[in-house]
Amino acid sequence: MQSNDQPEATANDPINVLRENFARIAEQLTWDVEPAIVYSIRPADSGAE
Amino acid sequence: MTIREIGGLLRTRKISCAELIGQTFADIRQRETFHSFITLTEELARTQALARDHELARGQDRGPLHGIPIAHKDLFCTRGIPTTAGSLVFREFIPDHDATVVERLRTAGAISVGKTNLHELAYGITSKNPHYGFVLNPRDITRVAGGSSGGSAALVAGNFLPLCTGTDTGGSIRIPASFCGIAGLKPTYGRVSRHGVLPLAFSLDHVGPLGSCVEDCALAMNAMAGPDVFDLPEPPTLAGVRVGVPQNFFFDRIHPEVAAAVNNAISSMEQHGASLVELRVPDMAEAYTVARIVQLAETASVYARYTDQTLFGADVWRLIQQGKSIAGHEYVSAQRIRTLFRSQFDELWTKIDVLATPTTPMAAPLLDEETIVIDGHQEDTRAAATRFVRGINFIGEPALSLPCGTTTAGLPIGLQLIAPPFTEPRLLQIAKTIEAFLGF
Repeated sequence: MQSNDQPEATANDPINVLRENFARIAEQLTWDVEPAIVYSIRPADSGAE
Repeated sequence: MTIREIGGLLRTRKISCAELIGQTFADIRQRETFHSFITLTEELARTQALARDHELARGQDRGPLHGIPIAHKDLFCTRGIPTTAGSLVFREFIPDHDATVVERLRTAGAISVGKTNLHELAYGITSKNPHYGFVLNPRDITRVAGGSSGGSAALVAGNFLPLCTGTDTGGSIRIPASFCGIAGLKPTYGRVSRHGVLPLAFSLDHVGPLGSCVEDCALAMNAMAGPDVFDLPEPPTLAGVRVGVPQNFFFDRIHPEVAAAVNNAISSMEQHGASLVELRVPDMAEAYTVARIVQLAETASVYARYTDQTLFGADVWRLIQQGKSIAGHEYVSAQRIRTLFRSQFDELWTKIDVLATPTTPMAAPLLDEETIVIDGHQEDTRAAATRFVRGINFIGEPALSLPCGTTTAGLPIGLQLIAPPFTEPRLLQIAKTIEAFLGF
């Protein structure tokens, strides 16, 4: 688990710092967790209204 | 002035829409030295103002936004009007259609006076745009206005306009609202149409208003968001409102004056009837990290096709290149982690009605302040400014920033209120009550 005291990766840091932090977080995923589908929660996003 | 105050003048014929628009442009020419605009649309605005005047003379009133001058962030497509995204990539882009929000606000009677400056491609929090000028903070011109909706925030804070549109992918409405001392709402993901708004990160982009007060944001939402009614019957107290006070993350590494102002606001909520619920929130540092993976990958998907580095500012180019290195499995895993956070927040909302936090851990930084020291810790300014807001884009919850105090140097301090999905009407009611008794 990441601590709030850890420095965050920024635009000036190597991307690997962020990716390593992310890889640790992703370790908690089990096979049955599906991706969130968030692109079209409501019809408003279709622009069709 | 607020929308309600301006509307009163228009309806009592103390001023016409045409006179108001004329005064607005005169004011802009005289005082607007903050690099807030990319394009002014004076002729079109004057034509629309005359039409709104004729309607009022016939007794046709489109509602609270009738004749109200506004401006759109230059990320919103406007038919026949340049839409640059603050970038050289789009410097000659003239859309053939209006964004849904642009059309809806015009139908509601608002009159756009132009397109506002922003952080290049909306990909940053300073609005130090290398192509269209650095947006300065009207509260202190040695400081950034925040971003990416910096021009919109500066125009409201500078009392040029009561309302502007903005977008928020990692804090781009709430950060400039906090730094400039105005109200800004990032609605629930999907609440407001993104149609015709140039994308930064598809699953993190939110469209919302920046206003001179909470009510201005509510009035704008009525037009922007569709069928829901964002009316604001004024609750006399906060009785029955359960306010979550986070015991982790949101009060770590913040400026003491920010902590004091936000804690004072929270105490005031209790004095006005709210029940305070101290609790631990989900790991927002993790949410921040995963949100960055999503944003880097999605933005790279939009801009990877552009290979001419000279078209981009250095910071934006670097972020696009970083995004190209995110692997497909990492992006999908990030969206799977989103499922976990969604579940954790659903559980959180069984205990509270609103979560109260600082919007940013510090007040507006100086224009050249690349790193900042907060409570003895040195930190990248961009990372600091987005620390309390970016994770909320990942979850999708509505979140609002309103002023809750000032530093000893007179800089605004923002209070962030986060609420369950699609509860903006209640969030705005609570915020308006707090705004009234805080008095900032």
